[in-house]
Amino acid sequence: MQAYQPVRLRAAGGTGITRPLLGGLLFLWILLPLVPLILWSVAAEWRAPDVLPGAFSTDGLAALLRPEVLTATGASLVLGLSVALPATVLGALAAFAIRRLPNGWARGVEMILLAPLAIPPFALVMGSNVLLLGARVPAFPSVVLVLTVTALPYTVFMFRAALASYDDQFEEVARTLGASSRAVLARVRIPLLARATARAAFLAFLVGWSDYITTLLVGGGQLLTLPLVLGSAASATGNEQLTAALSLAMIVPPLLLLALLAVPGPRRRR
Amino acid sequence: MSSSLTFDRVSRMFGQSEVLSDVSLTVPARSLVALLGASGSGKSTLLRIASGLDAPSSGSVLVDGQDASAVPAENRGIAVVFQKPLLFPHLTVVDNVAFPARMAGVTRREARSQALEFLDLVQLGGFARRMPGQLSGGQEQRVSLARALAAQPRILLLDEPFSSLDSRLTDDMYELVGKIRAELEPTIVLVTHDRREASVLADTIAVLDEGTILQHGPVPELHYQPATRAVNRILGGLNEVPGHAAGGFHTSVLGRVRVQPGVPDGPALLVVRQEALRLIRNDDGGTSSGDEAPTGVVTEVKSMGAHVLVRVRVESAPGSGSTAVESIAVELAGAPALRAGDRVGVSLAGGQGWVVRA
Ligand SMILES: Nc1ncnc2c1ncn2[C@@H]1O[C@H](COP(=O)(O)OP(=O)(O)O)[C@@H](O)[C@H]1O
Ligand SMILES: [Mg+2]
Repeated sequence: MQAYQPVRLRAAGGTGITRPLLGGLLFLWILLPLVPLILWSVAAEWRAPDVLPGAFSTDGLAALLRPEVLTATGASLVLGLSVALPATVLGALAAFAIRRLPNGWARGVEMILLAPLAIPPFALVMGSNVLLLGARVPAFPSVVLVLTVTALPYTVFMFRAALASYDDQFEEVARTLGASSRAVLARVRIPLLARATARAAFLAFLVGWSDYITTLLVGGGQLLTLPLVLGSAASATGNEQLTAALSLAMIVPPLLLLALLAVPGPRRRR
Repeated sequence: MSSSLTFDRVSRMFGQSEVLSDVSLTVPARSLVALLGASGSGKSTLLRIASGLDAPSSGSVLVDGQDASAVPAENRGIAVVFQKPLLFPHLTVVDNVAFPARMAGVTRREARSQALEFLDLVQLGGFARRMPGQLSGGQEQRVSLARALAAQPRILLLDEPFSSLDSRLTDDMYELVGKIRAELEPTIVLVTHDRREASVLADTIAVLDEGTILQHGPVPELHYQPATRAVNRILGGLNEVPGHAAGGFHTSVLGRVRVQPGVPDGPALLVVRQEALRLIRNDDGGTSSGDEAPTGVVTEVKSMGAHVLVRVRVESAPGSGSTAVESIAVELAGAPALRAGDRVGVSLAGGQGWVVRA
């Protein structure tokens, strides 16, 4: 949850102009790399010294509608959602469970849950691949399984942060004000943890949506997602237009989701 | 609408430790009883049991004489205000106060219009559309109080609700409690570790110590007629003068003092409030009239703001056959010109004493 009492931080040396300036720079830093990408996606021809493409075409964008690209996009969406659901639920459960532990134990369990972040993904994937192949688990569930473990640190972290400022007494006070257990869940617990849940699910979705290595190695080529299609397009030469279009297709859906998350809930404004 | 609340031999075990043992206490309808005790004495546990958030290991809670054990918290009609305001951060101030009515099935429009009345009662009508994070600590606690009252509870439980507010704000809150009592006449149990707060607000004080009620009575009784040394200390009494009781009198360094009837002969402690003692200046060592008054030497003069606390080493009167020496605390108004080493007489206003078992 957001801080219970909003704390107004003044930017260091926060005179009128520095803050918007810094913000603008940050914005540019994130957006600037997108500009060539957008240009490439609609360029028919773009030679080295030129600032802008010499000719434009929509072939690259049109290629996104090819059946194999659409299938791959669908597969990525399904993979992202399939990772988001268990990783969010498990993350919430883990965070609630860790909170019940005495302090020392909580820290230990937290370290174990965060460990996948420290292990190079390649090592993690190779290790689990051996196990999953041995157990003859099919490709898709195997990928979901490994990616859920990868996503878990993010979701646990989101919920840990949210629960740190979450007080069980909110639920108790609601009960003494006449709220049944169901009303407590619907009117207090879920609204109070809604933002954290959305953020956790978003991060976990991204893990599935943008994964390359796990899908390639554990999926064994059977699972063709958008990043794999993008990878093969990028490794071929003279394919910049398609590569750029595919990259945009990778970026836009998460950006839309993010924008959705940033919109304040209707309750805030009533 | 206001109900009486009775604890009938309530005990609560947490594992092996008994946090409440055999607590019996009655809170009459429309009265305000303060539960006074140190932190860890079991006050919050007792309130949680009353509200239904916790259950007693044995014993029962009665509301208007009816056993409430089987009634879950949400149906008990007992509202609680905790130390933290616990305003729901996703709801506006008015929707926080409208929450209980919404839970009772009232329409949103009706619930809000009721909520506004309760916000007016706590003088925050103008803050209805704010979010809780935009209020100060004192305002949040007022809203929390309004929200509890909006539940139109049969009994209102306050668990140290003012203890994180600064002293100027607490005085405003005390005034607000008085206003609420005058307008709505709720039954209130106030938990506090602050004896001043208990004395200012309560009709009666129940002293809780290590899970047992030591004494329950009107505010002056607790101060001047404590049942035990522990009660005297919890209410801030500083003087427990050892001596001997015989034939309705107590003899000590403070002399021979008449005490309450029914005291058995034998060793006993004379309890005198530091506020009930006076000092007599013996300017040139000689005494003018009060040769009965015990005398002593000032050892410490400590400022307590508008009052000073003077400690006096009092010796037995010469010829009394005793060589006892006691340090006696005396609280005086103003700024008396006293210094350590001054010789003073100590006099007991009223001349009536109160003793407890040694
Ligand atoms: N849920 C619990 N589990 C174990 N011990 C508890 C629990 N709640 C309270 N206690 C213990 O009971 C004692 C009384 O607590 P509490 O009622 O909160 O005291 P107070 O409100 O007077 O400070 C404390 O020693 C506390 O540690
Ligand atoms: Mg407490």
